[in-house]
Amino acid sequence: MKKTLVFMLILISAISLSANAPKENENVLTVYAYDSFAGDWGPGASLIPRFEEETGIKVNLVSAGDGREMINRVKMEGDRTDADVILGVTDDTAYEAYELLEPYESPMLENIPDELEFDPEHRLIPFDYGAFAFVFDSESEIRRPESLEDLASEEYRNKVILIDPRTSTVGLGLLLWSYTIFGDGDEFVAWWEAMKDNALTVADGWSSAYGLFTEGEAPIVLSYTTSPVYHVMNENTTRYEALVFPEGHEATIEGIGIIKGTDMREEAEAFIDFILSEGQTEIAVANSMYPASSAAELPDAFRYAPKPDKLFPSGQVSPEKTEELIQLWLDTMTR
Amino acid sequence: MKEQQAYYTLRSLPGILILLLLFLIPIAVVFSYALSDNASALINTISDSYTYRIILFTVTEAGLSALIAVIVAFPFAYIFSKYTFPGRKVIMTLSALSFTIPTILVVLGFVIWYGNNGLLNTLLMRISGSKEPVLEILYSFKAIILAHVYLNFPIAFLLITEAWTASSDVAEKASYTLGKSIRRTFFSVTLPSIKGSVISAFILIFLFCFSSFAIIMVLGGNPSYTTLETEIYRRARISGDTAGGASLSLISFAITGILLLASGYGRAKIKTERKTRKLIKGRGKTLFAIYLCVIVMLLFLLPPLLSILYRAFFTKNGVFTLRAWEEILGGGFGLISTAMEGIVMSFVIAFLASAAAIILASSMAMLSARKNSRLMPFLATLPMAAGSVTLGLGFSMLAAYIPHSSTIVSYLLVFLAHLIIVLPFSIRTITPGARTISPTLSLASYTLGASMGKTMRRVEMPLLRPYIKKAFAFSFALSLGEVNATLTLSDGHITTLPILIYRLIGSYDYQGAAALGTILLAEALIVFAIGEKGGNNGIS
Repeated sequence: MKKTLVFMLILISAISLSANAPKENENVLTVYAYDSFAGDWGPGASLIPRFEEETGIKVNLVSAGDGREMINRVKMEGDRTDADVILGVTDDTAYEAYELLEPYESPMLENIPDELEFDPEHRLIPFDYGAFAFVFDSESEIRRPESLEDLASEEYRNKVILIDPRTSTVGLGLLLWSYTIFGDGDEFVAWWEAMKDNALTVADGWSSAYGLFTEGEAPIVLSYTTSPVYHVMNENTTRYEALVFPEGHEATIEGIGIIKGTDMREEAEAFIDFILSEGQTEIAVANSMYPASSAAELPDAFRYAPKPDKLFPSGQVSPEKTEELIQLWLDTMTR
Repeated sequence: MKEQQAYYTLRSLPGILILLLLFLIPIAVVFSYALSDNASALINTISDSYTYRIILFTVTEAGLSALIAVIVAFPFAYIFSKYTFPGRKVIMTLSALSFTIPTILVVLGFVIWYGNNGLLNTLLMRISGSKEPVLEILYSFKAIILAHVYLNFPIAFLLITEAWTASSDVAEKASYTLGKSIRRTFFSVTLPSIKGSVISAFILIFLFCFSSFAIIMVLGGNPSYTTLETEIYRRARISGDTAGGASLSLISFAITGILLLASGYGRAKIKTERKTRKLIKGRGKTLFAIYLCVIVMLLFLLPPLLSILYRAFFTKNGVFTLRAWEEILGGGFGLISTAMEGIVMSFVIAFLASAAAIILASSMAMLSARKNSRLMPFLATLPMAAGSVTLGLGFSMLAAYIPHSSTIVSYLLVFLAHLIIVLPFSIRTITPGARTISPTLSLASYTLGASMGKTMRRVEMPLLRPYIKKAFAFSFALSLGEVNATLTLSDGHITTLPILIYRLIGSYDYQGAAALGTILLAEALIVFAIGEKGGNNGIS
């Protein structure tokens, strides 16, 4: 009995290894998207059938890891890639993707504000964006910090939960944000030295950081401007506020693009137009991001997601410079 | 003898094959990156002083955690392997629970209980009337050690108790009769007979803490507490420096490999005992003392778990609510409505992976005991030595090579990934048991005309049963809490409980996550309980 089980196991694994990668049907549009879009629970699950029904184009939605993994995958697959469209490349990793993409001047671009169009050649078209911000617990007894500068003052000692830029894109967001505001000289070092004392802990990722925050371990946490929306919609409380700082905020913009050399160009264009029009609200709500299109309508709770007056797109810093900043950050924090 | 070895070699082949294939392929992929371009990335990494700083910290942190966990487990293992008392089994089952929960919930449980604003501090502040937190435990190096000891205590406790209970006390009694002191007897008789399990526990815990990640970062509270895994993760996932990450993986693997070899995995020592010790019934004052110890142990183990339970029913402000539960039972929309699917799926995957693991592992353990080699446990340790981040990296690279969009393939890949994660455990748990079965016993069975298959079924397996049960429970728990490989390979099509927990937390719903965590614990508890009840003819 056990022997048969074992043999079955081997058989199954052998089959799985050989029977993999069934060749794609010619008339199917293959879209690579990040996990949280393509998973059974993501916005893709409801948007794709709607798109298929409206246009008659069959879509093969592939969940291909996070943004960087998607790019790597397309690179690794080279010419034999099935991908026609790639969805969810953020502006900070965009430089790695450009060589894989071909430009598309979508008619929907007219609804997208200029400051979001991080790629002037339109190889990547923004479909949603978010801004990093500090979220504040208004039931704490401390004063609301008014700016990044202010956050570094002594009264916030052990009151802030930060996130490590080495393991989290949110953490990296703050690092680049501070670089945009303070440069990479003494001001940068001084601000981070102060933040080292003010940080209760530097978490590995956003999830644990925000968990510590809602457990009341500290009244300020690094997160997004849209964070209060969940608390309004599900807990009916406005206790948690996103702080808008006058210096401006670091933004993350997510883009969609067409893979170079696709033989489904027309269908790919239709898909992108759909994402930039009908898909906007659903994606924004699911991702807790702002829709890129100014024509999209948002649920009422988004009123509690204050839009910063000034946004800095995050694709402005070269990867070498980013490495250098992380090193500087690490030296400052571990000194 | 020869025939028997051949028989077990044959029966072990599938396991060895699976182990090698599932381990070597991902690892080879990772290492090919490290060595590409004339190994320039590797050379850079080796010549960087930063590398040595994090190696030093990682080894220190892991060594210290493992040492303390083993030391703390010792007195409890002593009590549980000397006395029997009502509730003994229940407590042993409970102690294994912390093993099941995904790291992020452990972190959360710790924060809810030990945090500056946590339940313990709130309680102490109320008693002392202080406005500031009384116990500032978290966000320091000691918090890292505390969490590691907490998480890994069950490994040390269960492994040592198991070995201790199974070792004969004849020699000890003889030692006393010869007038040797208790201390002398402990060091020269008892300790050598359970040494294997102590080393085994130490190494397992060391490996776990070596690749620890979230706990060190969140609870350590300071970026100077950086482990190798953190750096590997950063290079591979954040900086896009795959070659650099792979180089560090190679170094990390080399270190754990050397440690494994140095810890005596090459040497083999035969030890066969047929008699196990008879547990003394605890009575009167002894019983009281036992329960005192048990209470101390439970006070350490349960609060963080109960904190998760508490959060599943109460909001942060202490208001009772069933919101999360109603949503799980179908009242919810979006993520949480898939909870039922997650519950079933986790169970099925964990059950299949553990069942396959113990079947494969039993033969492999017998082979390694009969051949009297430690090759098998060593082989089985390789995946653990490689570290979860490295394996995950390999799996994700593989997933890119084998594009798949079919759900069945996803299931298979996840099943295989879980198998490679739990198989080493099963082998390591069952092997000490296999060593206690005297070869003469099997030979006697052959002499009486039983075939090798029959001997295995009727003689050897029943003797192995307690070990197999333990292996199953451990494997099950491990698979139940597995996140990384599942996420990488499932392609978004498989919803297991821990993945759902991560997603819920990702969408701000910590209460839902705590409720699912509670279900996860309950699921594990039931399986443990059934496993314990399965047969009482075993050792414990």
